[in-house]
Amino acid sequence: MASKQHNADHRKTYFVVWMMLLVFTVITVWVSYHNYGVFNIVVAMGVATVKATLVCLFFMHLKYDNRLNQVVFVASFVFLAIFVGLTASDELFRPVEAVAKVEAVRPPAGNQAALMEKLRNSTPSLIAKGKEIYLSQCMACHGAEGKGNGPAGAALNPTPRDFTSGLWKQGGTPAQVFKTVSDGMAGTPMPPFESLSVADRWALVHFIRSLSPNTPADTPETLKLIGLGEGVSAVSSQALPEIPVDFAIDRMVKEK
Amino acid sequence: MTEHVVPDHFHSAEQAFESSKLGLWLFLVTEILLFGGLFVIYIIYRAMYPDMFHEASRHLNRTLGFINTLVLICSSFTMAMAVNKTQNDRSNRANQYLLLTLMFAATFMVIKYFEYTHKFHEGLLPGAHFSFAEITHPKADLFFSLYFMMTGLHGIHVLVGIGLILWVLVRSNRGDFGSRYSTPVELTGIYWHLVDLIWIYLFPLLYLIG
Amino acid sequence: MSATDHTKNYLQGGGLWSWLTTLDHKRIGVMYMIATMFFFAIGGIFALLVRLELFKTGPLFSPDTYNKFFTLHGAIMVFMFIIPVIPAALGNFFLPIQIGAKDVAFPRLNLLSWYIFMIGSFLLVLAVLSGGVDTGWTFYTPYSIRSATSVIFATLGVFIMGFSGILTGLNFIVTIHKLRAPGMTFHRMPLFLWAIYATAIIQVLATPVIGITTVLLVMERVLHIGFFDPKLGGDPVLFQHFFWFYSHPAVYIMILPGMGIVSEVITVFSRKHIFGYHAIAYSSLAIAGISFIVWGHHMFVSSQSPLANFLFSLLTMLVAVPTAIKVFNWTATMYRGSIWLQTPMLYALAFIFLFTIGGLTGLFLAALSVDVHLHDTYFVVAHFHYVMMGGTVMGLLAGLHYWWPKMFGRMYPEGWGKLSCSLIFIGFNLTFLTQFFLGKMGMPRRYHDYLPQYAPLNMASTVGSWFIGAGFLIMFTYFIWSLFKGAKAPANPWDAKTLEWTIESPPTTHNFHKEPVVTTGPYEYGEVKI
Repeated sequence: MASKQHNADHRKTYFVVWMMLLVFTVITVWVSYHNYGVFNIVVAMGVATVKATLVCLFFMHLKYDNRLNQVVFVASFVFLAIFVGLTASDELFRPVEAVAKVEAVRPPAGNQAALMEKLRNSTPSLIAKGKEIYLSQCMACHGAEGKGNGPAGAALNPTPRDFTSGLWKQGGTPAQVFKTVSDGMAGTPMPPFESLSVADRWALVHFIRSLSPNTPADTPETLKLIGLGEGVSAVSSQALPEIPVDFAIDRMVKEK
Repeated sequence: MTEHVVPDHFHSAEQAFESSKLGLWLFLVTEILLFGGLFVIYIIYRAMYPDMFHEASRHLNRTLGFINTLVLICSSFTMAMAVNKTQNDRSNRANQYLLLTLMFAATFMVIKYFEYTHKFHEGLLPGAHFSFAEITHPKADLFFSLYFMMTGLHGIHVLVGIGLILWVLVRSNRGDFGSRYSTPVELTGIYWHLVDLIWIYLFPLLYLIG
Repeated sequence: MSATDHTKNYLQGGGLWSWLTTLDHKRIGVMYMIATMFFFAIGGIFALLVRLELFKTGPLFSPDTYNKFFTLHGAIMVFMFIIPVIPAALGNFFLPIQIGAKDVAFPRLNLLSWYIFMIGSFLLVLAVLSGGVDTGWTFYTPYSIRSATSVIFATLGVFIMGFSGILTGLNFIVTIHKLRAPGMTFHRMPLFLWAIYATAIIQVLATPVIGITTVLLVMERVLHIGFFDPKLGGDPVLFQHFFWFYSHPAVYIMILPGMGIVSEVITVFSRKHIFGYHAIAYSSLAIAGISFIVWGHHMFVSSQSPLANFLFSLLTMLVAVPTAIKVFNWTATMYRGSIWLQTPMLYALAFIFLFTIGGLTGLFLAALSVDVHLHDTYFVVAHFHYVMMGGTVMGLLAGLHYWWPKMFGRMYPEGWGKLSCSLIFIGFNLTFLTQFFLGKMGMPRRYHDYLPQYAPLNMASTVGSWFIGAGFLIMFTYFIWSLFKGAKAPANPWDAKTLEWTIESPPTTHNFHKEPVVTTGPYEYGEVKI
């Protein structure tokens, strides 16, 4: 392979390179104790690159190696640069508002309120949907016509509400009925129907109220029962377009 | 076992040597890209949170890092000399240089061990285990994750290097190598220089940016 | 080795142990083939189960079981079959022969890479046995950090198999550079080798990144390091960058060797010199290079920055250029050729037809605005099956039929071959053409159930999958039958010109009795023989 003369020369080169590497290391550490602002990182990386090049060319013999091996080794840095560059084109150039906020875990208050605002107004389609849910969930006790005479209701005490009577125990405004459907009625067999989605519960509310001759409108006080009203509506009008990441992850894992 | 036999699918010792060397350089490419992944994470997070990196890196021990850099540079030099002596048929001197390289490598690992235990003790741990009150930045755990992943992966490479040098030393001692056949010594040398080269970047990136 | 008589063919002599310790590239290739074909069968069964669930609306299996089915189908097919199959099985067998060498550069490393592959596969199988994985083959964070299934075994399996790919790729690059026979210049190499060479480059450059990615994912689960975990301040989209920096080039690891085989088969069965040899050869390298700058098109809707979306969409369009060059040149090769419609040629034609559909629908997905609508729908599923199965698997089958006589010294039954080819082709289009329409209608992928309006097309798709299954069943059967009862194959049944056809079928242990000296290119058909 290489002649002796050649190798003897290398020995001297190795020694010089070794000394240079030691000196450069001292320089870079010395610089790091002084604050030159952005130049600190420039110097640190510059010195590191000079040192790395020395190691490559002389210790690793790349200077004397054949062209193929040189190309191969340099190619790895080219592809690494591609990896860094294109990843950075995403990570470092995201518009600020698109960056998901990672703060504390909290329920999506904005979305909920906006949804409630929308659904608390009765529409024919909501009533129709409410009827469907009523027939599967409520009919057994409250009866098919809502007269409180369902087959399972006969044994209950007190007897289920006859919706056609126009009487309400906990109030007949949409918000009050929603609260009753959601939380049930303490001291009676009326159970809470939290398991139904918010939209389904509102549909039920509108259907039930359509059976009654007595349907008072909501006031600010009744709205507060379900977390809506004056102070809150400001939030609901600007519902968050996204839910916090943490919350989404937790939900995803639980729902799986 | 003193006379090396060229495998019969090669024409010549030259061809066999060139093949092994190209193979090794290709392997080094994979090493660069393996470490490259961690460098990408470093660059991205450093660009995102420069203040945090600045603050967190002050809690690394610059003196020990400096000593370790010197140690590795010296080991690279002795390794290069060992290859040179082997090629000149001076295997006694080559063995001495290999032994020196081995000692430097061991010193590096011992210093690393003391650094690690000190970090464990202070609660400067990666990710969710991070419990160090003096750094206020909420993402400081990322820096220490990077510190442990990068130096850890590098440490594993040092250990592999120690194994390789030991193997080469044993064979060299047996008289396997000389000017006619020195492939394992040369390739181990190039690998060892790469380990040094990676540390040359890790040292300023982790220790010196505070 | 030393005791082996070099004039015997490589299949003769020695028991199981001599196979498990062999350094012969041909035996290692056959061992890879057996392993990957076995995994292909398993992955195929999972595919049939997935389609069975989707045959009708309503659950047949539980949603969790379904999630595991499609994850295992994807992971097994990608990592254990389609990535290794052509390079490691056919490439191992024919690369040294086609350049006139006795073996690959590092035979020991070659055997080691087979064992590493088997260990990695074993870990993935272990993941299946210990409850399966439900993350999809992409292992996206943060779900993969928290999923209760055996993500660690699966990712470690992928990590270990990566080493096998790296070692094989490294071995091939060195072999091609250093072991070519006298006169075998780069420009006299068969196009299959150019493709394998480009593939090997990708394997060496990209696979280390999936290595570090899977290691970090395991660290994320074990140590909670937080790089990819938003709860600890990391960024889950960064994981996607890491994953696709490997996995997009990996798509070309899968398709390039298939293209290489088709380049061989088209020219042999058209009895004509390949049109645009240099264009096909260098377009393989161009594809390998471009494959590294397009990965972000998998992430158009992952809250990637508009700048990155723009860049990746633009760069992705570039892939179309070298790909189209290949298709044009194959077509031009057939023009006024004397086409011989044997089974390998049928598969090669199927490749061109199906791959073109797969490639063109890829352009739809590369366009930003269209992708937002089609992302994660069955359109994507159909697209990549047209490329992966319509492309790579058709290429593989072309190669398998083309080289079967050389590998085992027996002819496969031509009639049965054509039958199973037709079944697979018809079944494939029935299965996946329908999915383009489903995707266009908005049916999302990876759901275990669907709305009634998707029912008819889904039913057709599932029926198609049975055709494919039947086709493969026939094929496996006649291949095994032919090993024992097939007609003895002559040395050169196709009258092809590349070096592997100059030696006996099956080859002897050292391939050539004396080293060949090459004086012409690989496809010199010259005057038509009458």
